[in-house]
Amino acid sequence: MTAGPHGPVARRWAAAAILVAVLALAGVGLARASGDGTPSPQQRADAVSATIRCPTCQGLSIKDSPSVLATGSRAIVEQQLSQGRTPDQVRQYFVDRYGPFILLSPQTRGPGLLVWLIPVLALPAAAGLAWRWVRRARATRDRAPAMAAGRVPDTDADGDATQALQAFGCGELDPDDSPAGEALREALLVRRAVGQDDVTDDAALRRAEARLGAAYRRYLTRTARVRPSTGPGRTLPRRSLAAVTTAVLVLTAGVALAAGARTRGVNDLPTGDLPGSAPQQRAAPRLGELAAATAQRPTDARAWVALGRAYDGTGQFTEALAAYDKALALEPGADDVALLRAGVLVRAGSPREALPVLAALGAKFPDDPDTLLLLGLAQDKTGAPESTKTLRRFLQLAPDAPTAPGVRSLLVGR
Amino acid sequence: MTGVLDAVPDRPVPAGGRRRRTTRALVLLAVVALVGTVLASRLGGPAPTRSVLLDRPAPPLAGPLLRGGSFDLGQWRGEVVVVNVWASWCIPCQREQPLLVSTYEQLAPRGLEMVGINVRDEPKTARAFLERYGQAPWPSVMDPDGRRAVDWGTFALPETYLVNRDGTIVAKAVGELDAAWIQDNVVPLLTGPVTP
Repeated sequence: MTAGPHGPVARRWAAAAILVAVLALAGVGLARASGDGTPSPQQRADAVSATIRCPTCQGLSIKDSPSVLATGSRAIVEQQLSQGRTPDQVRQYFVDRYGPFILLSPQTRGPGLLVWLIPVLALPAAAGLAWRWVRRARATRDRAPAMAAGRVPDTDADGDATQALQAFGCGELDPDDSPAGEALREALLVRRAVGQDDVTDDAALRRAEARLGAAYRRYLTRTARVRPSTGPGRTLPRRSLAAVTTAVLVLTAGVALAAGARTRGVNDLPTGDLPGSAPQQRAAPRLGELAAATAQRPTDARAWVALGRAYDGTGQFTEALAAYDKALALEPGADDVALLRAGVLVRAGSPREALPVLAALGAKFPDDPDTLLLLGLAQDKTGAPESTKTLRRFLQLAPDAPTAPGVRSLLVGR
Repeated sequence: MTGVLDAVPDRPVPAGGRRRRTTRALVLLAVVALVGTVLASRLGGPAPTRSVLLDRPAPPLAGPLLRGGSFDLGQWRGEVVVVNVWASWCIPCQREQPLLVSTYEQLAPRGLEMVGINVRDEPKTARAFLERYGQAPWPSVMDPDGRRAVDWGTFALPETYLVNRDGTIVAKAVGELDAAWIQDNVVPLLTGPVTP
């Protein structure tokens, strides 16, 4: 009774125990991740909403978007699920109205199916290839010591020569371009030529056999020594990899160029009343956070102001106005919000609507440059003659403001 | 007979091997190109004006009206109908309102019907909006949570749909309307006498 026979058995048990433990942990993890039992209606609606694109903002799902149409879409999802429709039926409702693009994940039919299938097919294919490479590398490695120790010093020239000749004859042996390969090829040709002679010269035949045997052994030793030294990487199809990498790079560049070259025309999606622009995409996560803040604290006027400013900054004027309106409803006397709102109106092309508010603010704060600037611009855009006076007063109060040069050029000739 | 021959490495079999590798590379290349094409085609996104609802039956539109009473688009089967999705807080809607009013004044005598979908508005604000911009005489269905707009596949406000006499959506305008759209799409469907 030595430890010897117990070693592997004990190790096998330990391995089995570890495997069981890992599987058990994975099972517990899965159970935890899938939640406790059946999801609530809200969770189901959220799960479906997360798969549908917001029609207005496109980069977000209707679950994450604060826009009006996303709200309507969420209401539809909830309503249809409560009526007993399946998530797929709900998604189909949106596809029927907006096209397959409205789904954030590709469809499981048509070209979209390819996107789903490729990973499923690529994984086993890659695993198979990897297994083959590893196996091949290991076979080469195992062969090397055997040849170094046993076959190569063997001086059985006849045997080796016969085998080489046979292998060469049936195409199994095709020496490469290395010096050893060249030597082997030459020896093979010489041996063949000697064998074809009508008068057999025994001495020449023996010499050719010996030469061939030696060349073959040298060739085998060389290939056996060279290959493992470079490891399994030697067997990777480098050229294919290089070709694929180049293809991916070229494709990516092409797609990027094509996407960049697409000009926004009259038929492109207006977001509110402005074309979607780069800053808008950059601000998207921030907008989401701010919108979430207003959802958490709907009575916090400052949260609405922050959201309004963010919308304003991205040119989504209608949303900005809606957010400022909420803030004003909560804090009716907030002059700063009223000013911000009026600023949006002036920039969005509705100065007439902004004018009464700005006039009131101007009367209240006759020395505030921001108020005077907006009031002056609104007066200017509506053709009111007082604009010159208001803007001059703004220039007096804030001669170094970043907007001052623009205002000066507006006043030239007045 | 086995030993050495088996030990002959399978690497130096260039002729066939090289061809096989080329085939493999080509197959991989084809797969990459295919995936790339699929991804690229999805990157483009849709043109919202080319609504999937075009040439399809108009979705139902029924509900309470902004000025009281109720509405059902089904009653207008056989008429040419302009459906305008709007809100008082939407600035392009404010800009297009005068055009809608003048279109209605000119084309209603020739048989044009018009209905609005008023999205997520306070009824009071929405009515004030209509008064300010020329007291639109056509009905507007209230859509307090945006559901009806989504029903019509609306991407952003304003959008305008044209429904022909057999109840099919034949045109859609995204964004602020212009007179050319009315002239090109709406006018040819009307058969009533041209008023001076």
